[in-house]
Amino acid sequence: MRSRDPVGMRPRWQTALGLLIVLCAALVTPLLPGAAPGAERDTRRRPAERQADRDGMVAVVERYGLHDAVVLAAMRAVPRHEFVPDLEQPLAYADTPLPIGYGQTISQPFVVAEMTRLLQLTANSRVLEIGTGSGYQAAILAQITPDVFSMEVIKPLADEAAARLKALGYSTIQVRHADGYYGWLEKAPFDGIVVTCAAGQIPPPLLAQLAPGGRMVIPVGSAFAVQDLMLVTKDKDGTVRSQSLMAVRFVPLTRLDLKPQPR
Amino acid sequence: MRRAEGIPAPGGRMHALRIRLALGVVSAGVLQLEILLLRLLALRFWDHVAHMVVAVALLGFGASGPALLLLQSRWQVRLSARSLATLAMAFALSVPALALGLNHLPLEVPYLAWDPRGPLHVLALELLILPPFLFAGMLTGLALTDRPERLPGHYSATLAGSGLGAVVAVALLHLAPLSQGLLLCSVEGAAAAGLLLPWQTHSERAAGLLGGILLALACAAAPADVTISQFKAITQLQAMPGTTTLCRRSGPLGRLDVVSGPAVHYVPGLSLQYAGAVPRHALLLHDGEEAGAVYEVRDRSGWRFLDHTTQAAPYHLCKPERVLVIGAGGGSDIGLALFHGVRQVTGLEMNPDIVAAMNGPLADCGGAVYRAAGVTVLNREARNYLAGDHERYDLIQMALVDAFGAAGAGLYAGRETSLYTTEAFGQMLDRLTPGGQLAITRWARTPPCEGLRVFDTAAQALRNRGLSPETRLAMIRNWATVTVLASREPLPPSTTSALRRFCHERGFDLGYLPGMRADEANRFHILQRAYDYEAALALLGPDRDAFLTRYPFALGAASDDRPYFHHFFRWQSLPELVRQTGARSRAFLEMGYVLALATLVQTTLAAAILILLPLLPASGPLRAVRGKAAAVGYFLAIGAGFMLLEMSLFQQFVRYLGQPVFSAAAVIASFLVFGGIGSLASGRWHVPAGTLATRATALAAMLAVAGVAVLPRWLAWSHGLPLPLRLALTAATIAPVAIAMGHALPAGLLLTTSRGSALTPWLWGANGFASVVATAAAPLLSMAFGLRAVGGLAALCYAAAAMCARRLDHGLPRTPGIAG
Repeated sequence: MRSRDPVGMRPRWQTALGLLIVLCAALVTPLLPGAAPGAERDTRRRPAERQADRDGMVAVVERYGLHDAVVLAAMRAVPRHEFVPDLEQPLAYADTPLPIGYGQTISQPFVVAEMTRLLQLTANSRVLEIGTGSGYQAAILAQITPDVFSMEVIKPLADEAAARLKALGYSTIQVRHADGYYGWLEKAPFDGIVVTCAAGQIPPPLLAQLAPGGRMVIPVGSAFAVQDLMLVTKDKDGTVRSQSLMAVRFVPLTRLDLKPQPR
Repeated sequence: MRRAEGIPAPGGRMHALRIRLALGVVSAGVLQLEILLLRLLALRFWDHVAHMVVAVALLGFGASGPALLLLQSRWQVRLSARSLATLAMAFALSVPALALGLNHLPLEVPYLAWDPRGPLHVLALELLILPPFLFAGMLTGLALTDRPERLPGHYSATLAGSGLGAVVAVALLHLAPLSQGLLLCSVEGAAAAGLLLPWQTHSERAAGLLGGILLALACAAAPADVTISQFKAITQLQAMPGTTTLCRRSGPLGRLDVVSGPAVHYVPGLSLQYAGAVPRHALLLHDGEEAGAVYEVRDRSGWRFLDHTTQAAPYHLCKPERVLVIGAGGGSDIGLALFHGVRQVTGLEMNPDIVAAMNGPLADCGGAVYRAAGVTVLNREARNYLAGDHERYDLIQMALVDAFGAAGAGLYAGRETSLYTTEAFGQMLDRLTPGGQLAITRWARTPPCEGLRVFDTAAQALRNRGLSPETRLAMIRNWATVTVLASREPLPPSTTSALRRFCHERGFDLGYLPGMRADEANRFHILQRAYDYEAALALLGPDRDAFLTRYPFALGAASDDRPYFHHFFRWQSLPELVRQTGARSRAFLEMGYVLALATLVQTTLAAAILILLPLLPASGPLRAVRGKAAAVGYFLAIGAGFMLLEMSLFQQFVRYLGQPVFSAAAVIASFLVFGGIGSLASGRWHVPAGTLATRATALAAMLAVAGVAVLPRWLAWSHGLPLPLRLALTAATIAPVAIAMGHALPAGLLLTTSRGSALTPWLWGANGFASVVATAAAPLLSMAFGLRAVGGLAALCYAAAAMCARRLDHGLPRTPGIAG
């Protein structure tokens, strides 16, 4: 047997000491002066790992023409790699959707960013997410508003996402294991609803739970072929309207060089 | 037949009957395996993987020649009972290994364009499929090194086994789960090994026992069920709480699952204005993908929710009394007709399992709609029914017969669809009463594709009947679906007014309507521009062709010759897509197309490595051989021509026979059996080999050309006949050309033998290589140029072969007659 190597033990001591310091800091921080209301987000562990990857990912999102500072800051802050399975870690910040198991995906970064932008959230918005998946979209939303409610029908995903979000310090996000079709009546109405799972139909209960002036965003297409985002809005008078939005970016592509019809 | 130089005729002590029985059983197993794999892969992944099975099977057979030569040269393996039994056992063991490997293969076709490991997974799939066919090819090749006088019998046994295998495979699909069917192939291989093994010495008995134990272990380890892709609806539903499977049935047309549960919600394209209730429902899943819902509706008014979908439009334009529903499925379109008080509804459902489920386990939970007063549901394929039926209908309704997600992801890109062609729409229009409507509903997308292709296809069908489409077409859409309405008569103002009212009340958009103003378009579900309205005007105008050329996706009408309704991707748009959308352009790639392309590239490389590369060391003596280019050209041409024609006919007969599995069984078996008969018959002609090769290939070319010219009419004429008759006609249609083609190989071999044995392995290699490449290329060529063009290309190949044969014949002293 190999003899014990005191040098080899040193990293373990250091790790244990580090953990102890972090634990103490976590316990003491709320007691420090200035840890006032609204500072809940400050309790989040913000892993600095792969910040360069994150910056690169945000640069790619910007190249798509998305320049919303709030959304980009959120994308820059959330450690996407924490939401990606081990097998896909090398691709965590790549410009691609990734499978997370159970036939679900973590959306392509640009799609996440664009859906978030379309919701036009403020710090006071209440937002409902249908299809928690890994929890990444919820984490992005929580960078903008603390009132994030997320529903996931697949129990293992719901449990894992809730634990992950909690571990990462996203304590304001409420995750519920339930069928998102019926929405979250007790927390309604919502200023924004994002449906990140495939939608065979747009559930009438969700439309009912959308606040007047609210916005609902739905990616159209299967997990890896999201070509279009659908925005559903509810006017102040309750009238529901919808639009296809991604197509805007394909205007020159469609090249319908027809003369406008007389109106 | 293949016979290594210098090998003494062994097999003398082996009983010919045993060898033939073994060959027959293994050949049957091989064909069963090929057909079962078509179904298995369609269930495990999606059905476009089918082409890969045929290409890789051929690759296995092609690679068996070099592999056999290697065994003979390195390990002095000769024809013996033991060597044959070992190869049969290797085949037997490789089948459960294939089943096990398939279930664990992490290939996810929808993720293919994004996953850097995707090509490796595709390669792994091909490598999994290869071994059984390689071992079976080696077994057959080794058996054919037997004494010359025994070869016709061996060859006949192989062909008989193949023909029988096709029949057994279809029966197995009816009778047993896929996993058990695969194991039967394995057991057949083991039975062949048992037949071949003499069982005389201790070592032989021990080997037999060991083989049996290994087989038992392999079969025990093989999965009892198929692991379905996690991205198919069934896998996702099963992960949701409370999901239960109400019934499951398997057959040649695929696996049907009916699931219900609190998380099942399916009313595609329901109006956003609809706030009412939706009845409880179960979901029909075909090969794991949504194929419709079964709603538990107790009375007529319970169907009201469907009146808030675009497919309800025709009921608001007229009051139909006789309605034909194509794709009855879970009965929702029948329910919609009943809601509107239609007296006589005929539903067509081609899948007998759906009909049986609706009348059996689902009878009390939604299936009752099949037996409602005035409703008749027939287990018929629509084109076949329309070809033989002369009834007239006030409305023919065909709505959403495939899944949204898979269709959108291009997973059906390589699938032939005979329902959405100008010929099909023409048949439907011909069955309308005066003032009757044809209503086709598809998924809406942005940029628009499916709806516009239906619109253009309907317009072409009307033009083909001398009717102007401008006044006879209408198109409406909402956020999820597009419905195109076509009529043989111009739409009267009362109809257009009713359609405007229908759309306004439900928040649907007008895409096209005779006399429509531009400001009527794009009001409710807002697109960046009124694409559909503008495109409809262009498709009906004089600049249609220019518009189709400019549009970034292929929109032109599908036809029976190019029945690829789901294929929209255009290569020329790719640079622009990439420039604008960067990595997002991959969302627009059609996975079915990508996979076909990956299969072509990988099997071509694999064929070069496995078939041609092993021949390089033996290329030295070729320098002295004259006419080698013509000889190799001949074998390349007949290899490519054979498979191009087989694949072209396979795809054409899918429409004729209704399903790929029937087509694969009938076409592959016919080519094998009649091709084999042609090979056997080639020995009976008292003409020089050169003459025979030239005549046979020229005849094959002429018959292929005749087929290209006549086949569509022949198939259309006989399409209304019952399936058994159509199967018989399929065989009869293929027989002449297959027999002619069957002559080409032995005649060519005899013609070139006199040029030295050094050339022979190269000729086999060229033939195998061309066969593999042609098989993998055929689907892509069909999508680009049409099925008849592929048939024409096959004819060209045989014409080229005839010219090569003539050149070879004239450049040499006359060879003796084959069976002189």
